[in-house]
Order: sequence, then structure tokens, then C-alpha cells
Amino acid sequence: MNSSIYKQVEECLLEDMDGELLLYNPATAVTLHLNGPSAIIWKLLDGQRSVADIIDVVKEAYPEQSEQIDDDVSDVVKDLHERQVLELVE
Amino acid sequence: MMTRWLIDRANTTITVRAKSDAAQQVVEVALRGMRGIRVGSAQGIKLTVDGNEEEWRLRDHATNVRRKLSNTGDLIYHLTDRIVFHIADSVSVKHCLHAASVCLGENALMIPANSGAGKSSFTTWLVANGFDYISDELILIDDEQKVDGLARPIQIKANGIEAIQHLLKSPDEIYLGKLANAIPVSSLGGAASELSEHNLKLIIFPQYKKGTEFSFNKLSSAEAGMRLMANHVNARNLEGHGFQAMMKTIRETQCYALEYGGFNKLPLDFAETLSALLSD
Repeated sequence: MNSSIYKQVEECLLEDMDGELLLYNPATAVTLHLNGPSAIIWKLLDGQRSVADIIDVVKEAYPEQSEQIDDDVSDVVKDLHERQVLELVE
Repeated sequence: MMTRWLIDRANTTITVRAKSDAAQQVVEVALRGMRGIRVGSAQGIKLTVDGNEEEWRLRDHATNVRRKLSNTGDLIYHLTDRIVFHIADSVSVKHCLHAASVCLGENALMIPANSGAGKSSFTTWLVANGFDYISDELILIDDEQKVDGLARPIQIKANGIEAIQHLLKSPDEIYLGKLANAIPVSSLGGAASELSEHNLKLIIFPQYKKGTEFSFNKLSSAEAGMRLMANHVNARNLEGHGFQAMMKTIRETQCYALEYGGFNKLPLDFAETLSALLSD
């Protein structure tokens, strides 16, 4: 999975609610609440970076939690893909 | 002789026709709070009620749904459910929310919730405690947070009547059904709001769960936004799916989560608390 590249589904709508992100998917009418780490990962899912690239960026930002970050990033990406707000690019 | 009422909400028109005297009496009860006006000819979507207390017949001409019903409460439920359905399905100039609402003067309290969360029961309690009724099921709201509703008789599920029995001031005014009981607000000593526009001041997301202790907590904007969108029923008809407009509504309105396990679990001064929040 780490070599996979994902991008945000273009139709999704994003709103900053007092620092917390809400993401609405019109296709499924589902609203997601992206908390701190999820919001960062979401912003990095630009269709250019692989999951491994994103893990590296997050580890750089949170070096003290680097052991957990591989699994955490993978879980968030998997969850967002299952909720149909991400498309697999390659 | 056929009697006709026109209901017009946000450019959606529905004509309800009563073909018998008995049907006319029941339709008048069902539509009393909906600001329906008598008309000479049908316009828009047509619903027809015929029959009497032995057997009611309801026809939705738009979807060709026909029902035969033996209880007046069920007739009122199905008739008003058809009206709610068509408005939620057709309206494209306002947001339709699966929500109840009451008001004090121009200031509205909205209660969005899925079926089974206790929305209608809580609304019954609010009306019995002095709030004017706007709707127990469907709210229309524009981008300026102006609220309107469909004030059908409050629908209490057949097995839920016991919980609200003590709130009834005129029990003979209610209509029992196998599916739902129709509770006109007059039976609670209350009244429907006569205004067609109210200012949204407060949103409460209720959750009834038997035995639960009372809690009433302010929600973050993100949490309230998630909950509100889950009750938006015509997003597909609206520009941008209504998402940004609803988030603006959340930012400009106080939002709370209410959990309770029965009316006896509510604080004695809870109605006053809500009244004060509405007046803020």
C-alpha cells in the first residue's frame, strides 16, 4: 500500500469549523470529521505523493511518534478510501 | 361535493382533496396548522382522501400510491407523510431538514434527529410547556436562517402514547392509530405558530434512551455540523449540496446535545433554561 498514490475526490467539499475540518461527500451524502492528524494527512493526499511520502512528511513533523506513524497514516488513508473521498491514482 | 386545500411551500404546491364529509373533517384536523387555503381547483401534486371511520381511502396521484386505512390516526399519519415526502423531494430553494421545531414569538428552536431519537416526544413536552409549535418532522430553512415548518398534528408512535399521556389536557382530541397517534397541539393546551418565518436561535440534537441520566452539553461547530448534515434531506436539489450554507448556520447558532431517559429526568427548570437560551 505504501507505494500507492491517492488523490482527493474533486467533488468533496471542505469546511474549516473553528479549526476542525469537516469533509462532505455529495456522492454519498456523508460528512466526515477530520481531526488533527487526519486533516494533515488529507491535505497531503494531492495525487502526487505516495503513502510512503506522506509517512515521511508526518514523521518529520512528529519525530517523537515515529513508531506509530506508519500504521496511523495507512489506517487513515484506508478509511478515507473506504468512505469514497479518495481515488487511487496508481 | 369535493373540498380542496392548497399547501404551498417554497414553490412546491400540493392540493389535498376530500371527497366525503367525514374525510373533510379529518383533513381539516390534519392541515389545521399547515396554513392550507381552500381552493376551487387542484394545483400541483394531488392527494385525495375519501371514505369514513370504517374505512379511509388515501390516494397519492403523483406516485399512484393507494392506501386503505381503518384508523383515523393512521390516515392522518399517511396523509401528512405524503405531504412531507413531496415537499422534501421537490423543494430546491430552501434546505429541508429532518427536524422538529418550536418557537417563542419569532425565535425558533430546531430539533434535528433521526427517527427514534425522541424528537416528537420532546416536541410534545415543549408544546405542553408553553412553546408554540412549528413542526415535528420537516423544517424548511433558507440561507438567512429563517425557519418555516409543516405543523401537522404531532405524530407519536403507537407504543409511545403512554409516555406523553400525562401531558394531554384534552385527551379526547387525539386520534389513535396502529402505526401512529395524531396529537393536535390543542390537545396539549398549546398552539401552532401563525408565523411563516422564524429566526433560528437554538439547535438541540436530542437522544432519548430509557434510563439515561440527563445531560445537556454545548457542541463544537464540527460536531454540530456533522449532525446537522446527517439530517439534511434535499441536499441533492441545492447548489453546493447546501453544505456551506448549513455550516454558516451552525457557526451562527448555539448548538447543544440533549440526552435524557424520560421527561421525569429533565430538570424542573429546563423549560425556563431553553426559554432563556432562545431569548439570548
